[in-house]
Amino acid sequence: MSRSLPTPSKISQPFWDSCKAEHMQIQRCEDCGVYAFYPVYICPECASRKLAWMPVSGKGTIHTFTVAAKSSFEIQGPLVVALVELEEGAMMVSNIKTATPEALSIGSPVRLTYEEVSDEITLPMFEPA
Amino acid sequence: MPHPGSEAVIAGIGEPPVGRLVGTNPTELHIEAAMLAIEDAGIDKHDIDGLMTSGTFLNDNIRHHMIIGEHLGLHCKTFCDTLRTGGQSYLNGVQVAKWAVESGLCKAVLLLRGDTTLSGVPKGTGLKAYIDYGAHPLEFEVPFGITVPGVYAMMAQRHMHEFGTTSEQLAAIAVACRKHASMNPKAFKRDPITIDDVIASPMVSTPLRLLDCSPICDGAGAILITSLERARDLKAKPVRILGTGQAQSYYHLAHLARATGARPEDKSRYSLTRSVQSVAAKEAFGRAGVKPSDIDVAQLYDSFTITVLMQFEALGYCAEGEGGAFAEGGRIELGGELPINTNGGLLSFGSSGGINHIIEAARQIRGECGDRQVPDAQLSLVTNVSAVASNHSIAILGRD
Repeated sequence: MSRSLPTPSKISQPFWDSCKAEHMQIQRCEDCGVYAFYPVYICPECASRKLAWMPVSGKGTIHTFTVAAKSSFEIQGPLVVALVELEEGAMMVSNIKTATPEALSIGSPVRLTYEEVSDEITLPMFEPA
Repeated sequence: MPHPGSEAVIAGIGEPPVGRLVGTNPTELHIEAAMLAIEDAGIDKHDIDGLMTSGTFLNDNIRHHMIIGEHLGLHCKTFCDTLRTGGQSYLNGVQVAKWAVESGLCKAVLLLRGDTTLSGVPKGTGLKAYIDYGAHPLEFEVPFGITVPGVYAMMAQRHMHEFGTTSEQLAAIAVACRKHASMNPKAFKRDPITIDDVIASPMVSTPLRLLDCSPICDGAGAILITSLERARDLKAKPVRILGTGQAQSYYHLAHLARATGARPEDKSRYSLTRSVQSVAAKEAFGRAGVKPSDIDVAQLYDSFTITVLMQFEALGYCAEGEGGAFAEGGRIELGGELPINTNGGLLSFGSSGGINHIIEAARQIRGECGDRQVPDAQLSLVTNVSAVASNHSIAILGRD
């Protein structure tokens, strides 16, 4: 079995395009300054419609994670699913690419990397920084 | 406040066997459960004018209640719906049924669930099928291999990090449920287990092990709700619904962790380890006019051990971060301060969804639990939880 891949929508297409370009962008509210993820139509904090796509630094920390005993799809190395807090404040679920998941801990720094999983989709992933 | 007598009560319960039920199907289980509740109440079927189901994983329909209502021959109803809030649909349904009865909209409402997720799904494909069903957000989490045990595992990992909660403390919850299931001849998993057994069981997704996870299981349940006035003329002992409460937040872990969208002054109240259940609890306890310490027995939704542990804190049984310590020392076993999941819960009784928790809560008030009866149980707390501990419903049941 392979990974279930996302189907980009009108609102998420810019995000997936930026991942494909290996230059991930997420939305920032021009009114309250909050970074939002996943892609949204209005700022979930202040309801402003003024959202701009902004590049991220690629730095983050692990908010929490789990190492799956087995993966439902083929993968090199262990499947680590993590909730990563980006430096910009937004959080996203992703994978941590590492051969030594036992060395991971909550709060440890990670940096953005990318994995091309199909012609259309490149997934943003993280590795220990 | 409804006029005396029009107060809604649980007047009938039905619970077919649970386990691997080969040769049946979800529709048949709904009908079996419904008939048991109708017979338990001794109500004339023609008096049932409200119906709620929760859809099914197998043989679903957009208007699932219509399939079931037609099989039951409930011709003209004045209120119907298919509830879609997952494992917490049932206390949601109890609350809606209560409103329907107390407003005069319905005379009697039947709330049903049944599914064959164990026998009806090929082994090893259930979780994938559940994800594909749309049980979790497909675009931003599923591509990374997230699973249902995985999201609860991430909550457990965070709880351990923040508060020093241990695997042994989580295991104590599974042990208590199994101990109670061993006293329930109807339970799916009845062999007693120890904390060491839980720790030695295979890892599923760190830090949750196999015995931290409720087994996939076939099962069903039915609850009949009518007015106290009407129930007093029926067969079964009426069970009062003293207080109810609900709170729902989000699917995505990121938004749960950040309390996205909450008022700025409320944000610090919520996190991955602090759900909105505290809001539902405040409402339910407030309406019932009782405190957590007044409760005699609790049926706490237990999809995973961590699901229960977090509730000790949100319901007000201990301070934030002390859920692990609360689970220890037999406090949550029969004879302890707060006996939980006396039927064995999802962790050991089986079934799925939250309806069987409500049935056991009502049974404790009726005094029909045999060896696992809490002596003189006056107040019964029951919770339903679903979707990454984001959907919560609570009820406090009591005697007539």
